[in-house]
Amino acid sequence: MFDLFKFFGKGESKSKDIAKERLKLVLIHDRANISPRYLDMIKDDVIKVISSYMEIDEKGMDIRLSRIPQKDDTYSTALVANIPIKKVKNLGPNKG
Amino acid sequence: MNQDAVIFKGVRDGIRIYIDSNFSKAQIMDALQRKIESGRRFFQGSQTNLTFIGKKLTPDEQQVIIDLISREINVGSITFEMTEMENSDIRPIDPFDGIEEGMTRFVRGTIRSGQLVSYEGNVVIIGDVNPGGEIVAEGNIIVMGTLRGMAHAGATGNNGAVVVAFSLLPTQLRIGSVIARPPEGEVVKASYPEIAYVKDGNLVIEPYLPSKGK
Amino acid sequence: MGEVIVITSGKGGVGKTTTTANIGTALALAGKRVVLVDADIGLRNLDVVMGLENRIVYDLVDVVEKVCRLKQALIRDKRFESLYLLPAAQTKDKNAVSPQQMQELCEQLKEEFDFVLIDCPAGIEQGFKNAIAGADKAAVVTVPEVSAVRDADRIIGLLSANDIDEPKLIINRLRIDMVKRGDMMDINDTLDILGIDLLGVVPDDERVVISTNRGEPAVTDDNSLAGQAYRNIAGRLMGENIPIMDMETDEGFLAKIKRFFNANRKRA
Repeated sequence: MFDLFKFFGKGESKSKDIAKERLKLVLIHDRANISPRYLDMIKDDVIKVISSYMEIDEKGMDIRLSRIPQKDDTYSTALVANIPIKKVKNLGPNKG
Repeated sequence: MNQDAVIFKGVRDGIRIYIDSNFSKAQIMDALQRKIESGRRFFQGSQTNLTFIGKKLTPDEQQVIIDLISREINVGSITFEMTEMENSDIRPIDPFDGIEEGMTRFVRGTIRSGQLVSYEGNVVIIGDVNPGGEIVAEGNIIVMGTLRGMAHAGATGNNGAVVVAFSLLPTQLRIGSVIARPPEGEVVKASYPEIAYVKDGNLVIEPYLPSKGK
Repeated sequence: MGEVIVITSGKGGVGKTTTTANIGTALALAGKRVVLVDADIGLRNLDVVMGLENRIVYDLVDVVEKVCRLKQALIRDKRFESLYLLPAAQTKDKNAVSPQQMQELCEQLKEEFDFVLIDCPAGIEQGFKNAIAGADKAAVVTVPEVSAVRDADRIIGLLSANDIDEPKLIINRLRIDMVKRGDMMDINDTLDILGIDLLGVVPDDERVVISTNRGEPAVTDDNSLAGQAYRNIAGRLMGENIPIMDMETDEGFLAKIKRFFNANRKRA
């Protein structure tokens, strides 16, 4: 019986692993005290900095905390930003 | 012994301070000072009504107490109700004597856990009293339903008060100075109304309609 | 001089009160002088779990407000004479007590008892602040579910911010069958996330519900797995070196039962 369940269970993650992963992510936010509002503030600043170099799609921009798997099976925390670029600004001196 | 020279008792409208006449003035002042110091935080923040009862105090002694208290307790205002101080006959607080005919409060609805009904007279509950609910009455308590919570009748010392309920299954019963709880283990569910009263210092429960019992 | 241990969790319904009652009873069973303090003012429950609800005359708020003396408010347990309960007030609210008052109360209790266990209310508001004010140590109760573990983490942070470092973890209601299937976080998963030391693991046991119905803590039940787990926790609190029970680990218990059955079969 037990093996049968295991057989069917294969392929999809066990629910406890999903729970653990979700928890770890939530706790990164909780512990660092990074609220969605705080992320928004970071986002605004990033937009400000990057806008002087390139034109970006502010609405399509996504910035969040994530966990990146390492080679040794552990995870590290990362701030991941996905910023769609519309156009790189012409900055003159670099052109030539 | 000294701490018994004065007794602080929180009542609904403030604090009553009983002063034992068997102690000397110095002992009383000393005890008062220590009580106030240890409870300083408790007195802070709200207007506290203090009522002095007990030993007859001279106007001089009263002034010393007023000085002490207004120095120690830093509240906006203190109300003094120096009752029984001018009178030579000192009587303790009177037990409510309206159990035959007197003030009565009627409460309609269920008294649930955490709710407290207290009244300086008789109380009639038209509903149930659930476990964790409390009824404190200076007179009788009548529950027109099931009493499963705590009831204290004759709360100011009238042992002649009674508790009556259609179904009397209290967590604890108090009448005057007598406290009783149901016997351990057995749950006897009476299917008839019962009355609780004090007889020879013991709390007795029995059906008040003789035909209904047994 | 005894020590004050607060039993806390953040989330409600994970078994703080049951845990307090059982550990306290187990300590008394071992001969220690114990007082259980119900700090959940307005929502008292420790009295019913202990089966002492009908003996309450004075409560914690009466003591703090000096309506009565401390000794008058302490209720002695039915079974163990070294076990006492200081009940919470039911008709008052949490603001009736201040952290300083709780601290003073704990100091007084420490003089008389070996262990002062404080049953903390759920939440992180005034009631929590009061409950931890006089505590030397803390035990954090959780169940292996995401919401409870998250709240436990928050509580651990708040405890440390209040100078109660190194709280110990109690994992309650662990279901070995679900752990085996991979549908419940196991001991290591939980410890991995919270990163604190383990005080004990209590398996999910319906006998706990049955004994609570009766107002008799499960530790007094020799057949209860949870009862054994609570006795072990009490032992660890007394400084004994008791390994986490075999049945408490994710492998052991079922394997043991299987082995038992197999052995019997062979004999038959």
